[in-house]
Amino acid sequence: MAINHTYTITDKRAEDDLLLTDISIQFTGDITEEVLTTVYHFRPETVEEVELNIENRIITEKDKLLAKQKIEDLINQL
Amino acid sequence: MPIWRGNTYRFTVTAATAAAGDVYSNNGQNFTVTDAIAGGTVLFCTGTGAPTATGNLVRVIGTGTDPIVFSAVTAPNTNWGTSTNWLTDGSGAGVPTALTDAVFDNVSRDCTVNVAGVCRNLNFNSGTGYTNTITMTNGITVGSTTAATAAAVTLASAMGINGSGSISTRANNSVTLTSNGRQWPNAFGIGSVAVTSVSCSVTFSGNWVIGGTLTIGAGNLQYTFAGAINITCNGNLAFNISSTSATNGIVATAGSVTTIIIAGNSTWSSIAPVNIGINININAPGNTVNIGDNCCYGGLGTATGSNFTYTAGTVITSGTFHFLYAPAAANYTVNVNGSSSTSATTTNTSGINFNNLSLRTNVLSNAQSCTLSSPICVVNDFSITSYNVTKGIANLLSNNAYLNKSITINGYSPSGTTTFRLQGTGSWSENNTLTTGVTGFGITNPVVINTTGTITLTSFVGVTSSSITYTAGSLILTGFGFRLSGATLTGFGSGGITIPTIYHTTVVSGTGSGARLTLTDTSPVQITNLIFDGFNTNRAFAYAGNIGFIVSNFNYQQTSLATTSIVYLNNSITYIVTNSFIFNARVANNTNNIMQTLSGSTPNAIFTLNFGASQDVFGMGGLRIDSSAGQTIWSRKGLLTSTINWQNWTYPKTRFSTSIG
Repeated sequence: MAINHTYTITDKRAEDDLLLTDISIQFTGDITEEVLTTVYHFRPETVEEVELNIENRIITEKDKLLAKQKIEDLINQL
Repeated sequence: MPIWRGNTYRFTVTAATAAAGDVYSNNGQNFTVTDAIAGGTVLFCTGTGAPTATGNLVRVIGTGTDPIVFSAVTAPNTNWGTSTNWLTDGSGAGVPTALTDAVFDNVSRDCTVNVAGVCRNLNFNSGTGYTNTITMTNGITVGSTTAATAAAVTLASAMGINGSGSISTRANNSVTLTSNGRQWPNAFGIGSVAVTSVSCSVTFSGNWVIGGTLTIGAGNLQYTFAGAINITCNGNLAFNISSTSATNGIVATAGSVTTIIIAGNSTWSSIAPVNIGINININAPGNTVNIGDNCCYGGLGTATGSNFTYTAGTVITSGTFHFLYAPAAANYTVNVNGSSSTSATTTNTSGINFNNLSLRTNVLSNAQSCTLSSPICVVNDFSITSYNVTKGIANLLSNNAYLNKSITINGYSPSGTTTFRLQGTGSWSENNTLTTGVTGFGITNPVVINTTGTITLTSFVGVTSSSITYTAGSLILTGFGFRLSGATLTGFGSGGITIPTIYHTTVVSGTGSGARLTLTDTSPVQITNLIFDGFNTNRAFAYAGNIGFIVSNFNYQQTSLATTSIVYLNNSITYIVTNSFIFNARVANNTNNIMQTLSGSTPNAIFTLNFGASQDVFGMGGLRIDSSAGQTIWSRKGLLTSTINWQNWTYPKTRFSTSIG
């Protein structure tokens, strides 16, 4: 299974201890879907940390889509 | 005190007088008197060669008896265990015992510890100091078998040391260790031989360097170290102190804190987690330090400035390391430069990554704190571990804790500030979170869930006066949830996380932080069961933040302990109940039993009870609440002011009349 993604930070702002990044994730390959969400970063210190957090979130969102896809497959098979 | 005169000629003489330094001759050899005698019958001399078996010592230099007649002479030998090698002087004669001292001075010659040596005090610095060599074929145990008798070890700066035997001191009430700048190349024990004492005070003079294993302790004891000196361990470090008593361990002396530097290819071990108040510094450039199970720091006996610090070297950890907490003890600092990496292992070349880390506490009030000067990393499990109490206090202050597996809170943290970053796969649990009467629960540390793995709640967990931020990761909350007091939830709505149950616990009245949950997000927080908790007296519950909630079951039921309690909703924010709305007071028609806006003015808060949901509202009213988007809320005996789509329910009245025709 090959799933690729690109993401775009559509907005960014600060709220107290938090940095918010609104992101658009475009999955391609075996999953073709766009996910819009917000990622919260608690007291981030570097750009690399923020980017890593977003990548972590992308993995989570991908897992959700895969789980959803699996459930739909099961429903079709039952 | 027996003075070492081994490797000299010991003459048995007819009563004679001689001064130290006097020179006599016999058999063509010269003999120099080592110790003066006055009418004595034993004369120790160094010699240029062997004397006759019996005969006369003829004076060459000096004013002593001339000649000195001797009837026997002992050939030189270096054996510690030979009685005649010891000059009787003061504390006793012959080979030293636990009741007599062993003294070496500038006259003493080479010595071989050919038997297991014993003495009360071991002094190599008598006179101008021992300059010859002691060969440690066996070890020497220093100290009296009577606990109250003081013991001391004093090295000499120019003494030679061969062999591998150790020095071990008994745990006498008072032990003094003086290095005079001489390194001890072998194993060394501080209070490592038990006597019938319960405390051992050790006073250090001068820095110590130990080449072999440094063992501290002999079981069930408390030690006090005094002396702002360094003990450098080039070998292993072993704490042999049991945790039988909660006061056991090593107490630092305020203003005179001792530092142990682990500098070699060393293993640090401990038979139990005990209080360690002295400084410990891992500074082993080019070397590897292994930290084993039960090693520990902090607790009773810390002093101002006590710290556990990493400076250099590769560190490998195993088992569980403990930070200890004691009541009314000085706060301490940990600076170990743990890795922030999610792939961190128990080997770190630039800091310490703990395998497991336990915050070990039996404290119920006035607990000390541990401040982090740099991050800590826990590769496997992190816990607060209470002993002798159900929920003890453990506060970790400042910086970040990178937690790569599970977190178990068997205790609570009422003022911790270290950010707990859950970044692996594991569980999060807490004991007694919801037990009736438990007021101390949860952690005040900010929690960040940011993982590519899965975090699973295995109980209800508490967060007070702090925050939980969801950034990434699978979060399995099935059957559990959070008990929150004064907490902020961030990212759960946009993260698509539905929280099965939140117990909103309040500890204050009004809109103060202790009553408030702050919801920060771009999407409403989804909650299945929102249960209001903390009705042990009149309290308030408040919601702040830029977002509201969508709750399936809203369960607000005052108890007999609370007669008034306000629910505050943030102005302009929308809060939705979809299935069940239970909103019951104990007292009717009370102005303080209402749902109202967080700030005392418009705009209204928006509270929507979806169509189809059930409702049970008694005694609770509304103030500046707009419920126009849902069904009408019917309040039985609640006061309504400036509410939209709220109505008072009038109980059906049944009239009975009869007439007699």
